[in-house]
Amino acid sequence: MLLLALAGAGCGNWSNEDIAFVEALPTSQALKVALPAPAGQALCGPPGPSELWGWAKPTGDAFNGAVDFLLGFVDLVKGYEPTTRNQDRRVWGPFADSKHPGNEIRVVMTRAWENGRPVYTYTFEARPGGEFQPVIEGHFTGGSARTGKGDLTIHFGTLRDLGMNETDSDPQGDMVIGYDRTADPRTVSLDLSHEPQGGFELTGFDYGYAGYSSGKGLFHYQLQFAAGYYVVDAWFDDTGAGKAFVEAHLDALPNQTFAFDECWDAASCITFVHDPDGVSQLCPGGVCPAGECPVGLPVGQ
Amino acid sequence: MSRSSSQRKRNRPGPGRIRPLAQDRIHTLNIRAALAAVALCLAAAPAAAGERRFALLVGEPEGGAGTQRLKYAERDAKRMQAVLMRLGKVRSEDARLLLSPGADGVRRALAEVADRSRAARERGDSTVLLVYYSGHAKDGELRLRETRLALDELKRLLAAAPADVRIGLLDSCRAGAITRTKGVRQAPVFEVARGEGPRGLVLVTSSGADEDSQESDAIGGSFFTHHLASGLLGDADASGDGKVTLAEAYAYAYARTVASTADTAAGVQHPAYLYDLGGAGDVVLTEVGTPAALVFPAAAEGAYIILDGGHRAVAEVAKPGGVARRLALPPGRYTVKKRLAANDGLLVSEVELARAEVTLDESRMRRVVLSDDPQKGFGGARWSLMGGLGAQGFFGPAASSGYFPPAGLGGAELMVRDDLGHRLAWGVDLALGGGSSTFTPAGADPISVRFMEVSGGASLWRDLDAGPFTFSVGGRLAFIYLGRTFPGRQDLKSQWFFTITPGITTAASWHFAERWSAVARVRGHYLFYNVDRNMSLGFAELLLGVEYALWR
Repeated sequence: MLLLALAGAGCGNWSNEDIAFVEALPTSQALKVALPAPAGQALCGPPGPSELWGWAKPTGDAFNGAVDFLLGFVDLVKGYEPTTRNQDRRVWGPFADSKHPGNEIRVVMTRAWENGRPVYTYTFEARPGGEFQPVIEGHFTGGSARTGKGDLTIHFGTLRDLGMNETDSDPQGDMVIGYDRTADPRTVSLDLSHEPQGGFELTGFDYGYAGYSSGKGLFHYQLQFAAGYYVVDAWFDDTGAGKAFVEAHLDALPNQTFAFDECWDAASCITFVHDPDGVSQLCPGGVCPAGECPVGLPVGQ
Repeated sequence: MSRSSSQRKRNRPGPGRIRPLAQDRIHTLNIRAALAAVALCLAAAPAAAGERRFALLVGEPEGGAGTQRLKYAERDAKRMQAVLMRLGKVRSEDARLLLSPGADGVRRALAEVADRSRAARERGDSTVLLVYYSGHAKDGELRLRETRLALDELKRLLAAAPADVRIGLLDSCRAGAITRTKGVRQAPVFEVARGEGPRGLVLVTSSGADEDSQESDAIGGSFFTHHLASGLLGDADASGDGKVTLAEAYAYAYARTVASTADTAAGVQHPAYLYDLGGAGDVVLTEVGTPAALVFPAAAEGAYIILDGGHRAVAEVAKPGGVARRLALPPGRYTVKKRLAANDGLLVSEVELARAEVTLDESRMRRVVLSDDPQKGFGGARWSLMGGLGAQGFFGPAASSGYFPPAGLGGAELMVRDDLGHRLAWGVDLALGGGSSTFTPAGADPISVRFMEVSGGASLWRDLDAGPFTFSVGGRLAFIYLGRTFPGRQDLKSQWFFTITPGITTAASWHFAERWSAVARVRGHYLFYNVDRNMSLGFAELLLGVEYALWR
């Protein structure tokens, strides 16, 4: 009896299942946008460098800012051991939220099985007292965030109600992030379309990013300018050379859409413009650059 | 082992080398004749009503620089304490056992016991103070580690002790010198006056002034104390009155010690004594009329040895025919062996003593050849150290699910054989190990794992000898600590697991040199894992190494 009692005295955190659960959480590698850096300050001939590509990097940074906000919560989970372990369920917390004194945070993950593949559901919850309220909810299918796909919703309204918003520029309502790394290209989307005020220095829009393992990629984003905004689908290769299809929306003509496309080289210098509506201001005197476009990129929208 | 001028030497006779003295030889010893006469002169006086007995028993295995550690000094002291408390009317609170005390420790304890004796005398009790010492002696001094207690000083302290009878029993080399000191009479015949109880000083030493005192692995103690204790259990009760007097005990121990050491390399050992007793009667050391006893009937004749449950010799009986002997052994299970006269075999019997006499029935003892003697090879505790390398593997669901990958191990084990009993051994071990592997969560990419392990345990096993090979099997209780990290994955926390795990241990060893053996040890363990879910697992370890005998 003594031996059996002693033999039952195992303790520790040696857990394969903990790792399986943690692996299902979004990671920086899974979510962040990685754009080729512009190749320095090159001297470009007329019509000059591509502003569309030049704006892509700041937009990507803002995109990544939204992801960082989420990863802050994920790191909380990875920094602690689960407080409750069940067959297909893990609970972390409640923990005191050091960044927001008076609040408690709890993370609940559950796992189901569909056709032999795990499907994880997770909820980040917070409360100043009373019932926990979900602030992030997500789903994930696959074994690892590096190879699976998932989506998650950040309830910014709840975060604001709980005093847990980071800045006043945070979105007001729900923000949905989706990611899929099950095939090439891997994609990440950021849905701010229902957020008129946008957030993370982005305007309300459905942002998207797709990256190929070859280094090529597509970035779908919106760019403000003085007379309106552009909606851009920009393809790029691993050197940073690319081609963009642009819809121009002018504040003065809300019911009309204008389009043009342009190409740039690895130095970000515009090499080609097709602008039948003359909205790009890249064809002085009606003469557009007619150089080469990068080869091997998808064509059309 | 003899307690020589430099150290008490160890005597390592082979099995059966320590031969009980033949009865006719006993009778030829002059000393026995002299003491028998003494005994006849004395009406043995039992411990009187109002008598209080105090005992100070010292076991000191270390004699300081230039001496060898004595294996049985402490055991001798404990053995004498047990006999005196059980049969010698020494109350537990009046028996002081000192193990490795140093000279000052002995002085302090003797002073404390003397104070208690003085207090008892002041209450009107007659008192007996007995001091027993087992350890080293040289150049007229008891050697207690690096400290010294001169024999003269000890005698002076004893002579001045406030007790009616003071008895010193010294089991050490050349302690016989204490009997030569001036001021105390050496008397082969006690000169006592009638009408009052015995009073005075008696000193008994295990060897003469120029002799070594010896230990024996075969009996697990010093010769002198072994025979003295055997005598006190009843074999020295020559008068058959159920009391063992000091004279009887001495005569018995003298005869048996001389006989046992006659053939040893260190030479024969002659116990010595010094009596300065006045008053009437001898001192009764033990009364052996306890309900539980092993009785050797009158018809039994020869040399018997009695082993306890741990196969340690607790008594020897050298018995002539025609008179019964009664050994006042404590309840327990014993093995009685009698060597046959033809010296080609033994009679062996198991005896269960409860709270009544058990008479040995020689006709029911089984005969075994000497080579099958269960006592053969038992020479007391043997210490050894093993080092080895090996591997560990888990089996069951743990292995298939990647929880506990195989590991390499390197470890050491300290082993003590024949310590808890014949062929019983115990050991403590410690091992370090580790390795690397990969772990693949369901549907995910493999994750590299680097792990380490610390384990240790305590084992108890039985050895089975077969020529130069020894096979052993037993149980082990171990702890195991596992830790793992995930190289290249800083986002994953390190993990650990600790548990206690019971198991079995087996080994096969080949003695290829005097102190060296090659060992293959296999352990099988049960492990209860309970972090993710409750799982009963098993793991096995194989260690190949060498064992080095440290000392015995």
